[in-house]
Parts: sequence; structure tokens; C-alpha cells
Amino acid sequence: MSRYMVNKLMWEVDRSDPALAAFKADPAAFLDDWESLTDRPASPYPEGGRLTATERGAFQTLDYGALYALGANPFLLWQFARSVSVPEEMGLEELITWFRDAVEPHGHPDFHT
Amino acid sequence: MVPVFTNCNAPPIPTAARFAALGAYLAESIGSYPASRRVLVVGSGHLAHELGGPRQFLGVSPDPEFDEMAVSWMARGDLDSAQGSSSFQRLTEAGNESYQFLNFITCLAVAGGRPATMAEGTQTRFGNLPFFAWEMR
Repeated sequence: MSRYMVNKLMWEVDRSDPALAAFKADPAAFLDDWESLTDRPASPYPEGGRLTATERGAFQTLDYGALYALGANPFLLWQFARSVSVPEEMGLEELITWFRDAVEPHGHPDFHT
Repeated sequence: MVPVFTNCNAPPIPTAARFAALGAYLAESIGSYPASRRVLVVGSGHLAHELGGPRQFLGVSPDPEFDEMAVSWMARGDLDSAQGSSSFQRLTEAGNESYQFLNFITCLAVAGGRPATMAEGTQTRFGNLPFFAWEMR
């Protein structure tokens, strides 16, 4: 997986209000734009900026459990989930329970980058 | 003021021995600084802590046993035990954010492994929060 780019995308969305608004409005379009900016021959990252189909799918469906299982950085993933899902999708307390149920089956996956 | 600001969040994370070596280096640098100034070294971190994993927001520490040991290493000035018992594996068991404890190993080493003037893990709904201080005059 392109774990570094998964983390970088979550960081970008969490720290930038315009990026967060764009992601919430249309995740697929955001992912296209983001990859067009990061996936270039000069990319300093070993895997380039392209997400795998699995990673794209997980972002588009807000499947936090899948991202967690793939080795997304848990700290970044939680911040991302909170920014994206609260309050539009659910309240914070509901997210805490929902998130725990989503990640629990996966234990503690390796999240080295 | 000297902030201890390290990567304790994104593995690969340096070993505890390297955090101790950083502290020893800081102590040496501060000690050999030519001007006569009071110096404050500030480190921030966690005891056992988990965020973004199954044990987050449980209302208790994910690993009270680790917390008790960790506070005792600082209170007793036991740099060897702190280093020896803070492997990546052990910290992962204590919680996926527990690597941030390593900053305190740097601070303990800055203090030359002296017992902390204050060492406390305060119970909160987020787990036990660490407060360590060394006064050196």
C-alpha cells in the first residue's frame, strides 16, 4: 500500500479547511485532484502519489476500519475521522463507539512508513 | 528554553537508548554554554496512551502497570530501567501513542539520571497524565 500517501492525504484534509470542505463535498473529485497534484515523476515519495484502488475505495466510503487495517497512522486517522464525520455524519460520542467497533477486529496493525 | 521535540508518533521510532543519548548531548551542550543563564528544558509526552485504536477513550489507562513503573523510574532516577523497559514492543502494548513517553527519557537523561523533584501520573478520563519535573540549581 502507499501508506505514506494515505497519511499525507489525511493530514492535508484535517489541517486545511478548504481541503476538508472539498473532501466532504465530493470525495472522488477531491481524490482525483489530489492525486493529479501529488502523482508526478518528481514526487519525492517512493510510491509516488497514487493510492491503490482499495485505499481510494476506503476513503470514498469513509471506511475507517479498512484504513486502519491497511496501516494508516492511528493518530492521523482519528483526527481525520472526527473532522470528516462530526457533526455531519454523526455526533462525537457516536463516532467514538462506531470507530472503536470498526478498528477493534484488526487489533494493532503495523503502521510503519 | 530548550524544547524536546521528536518524532514519537510515526514509526520507525528511534530506540530508547537514542532518546537517552539525546538527553546526555543536551545536558553537555547546556553545561558548556558560555553565558550564565537559567535554562528550561521542556518535554511533552504521555504515559500509556492510545488514540485511533480500539482502546481509545475507555476512561482508564490502557496499561496502569506501565504507568506505575514509568512514574517510579522518574521518581527514582532509574534511567537504566526506563531505557531497558521501553522497547517499541513494550510501548506498543501500553498503547499506540505511548511512544511519546520516550521524550521523558530524554528529559531524565538531561537531568543526569537524577530522581525527579516531582513525578506523578494524574488520573483523568483520558488515562494517567504525566507530570515530571527536575529542579537543578
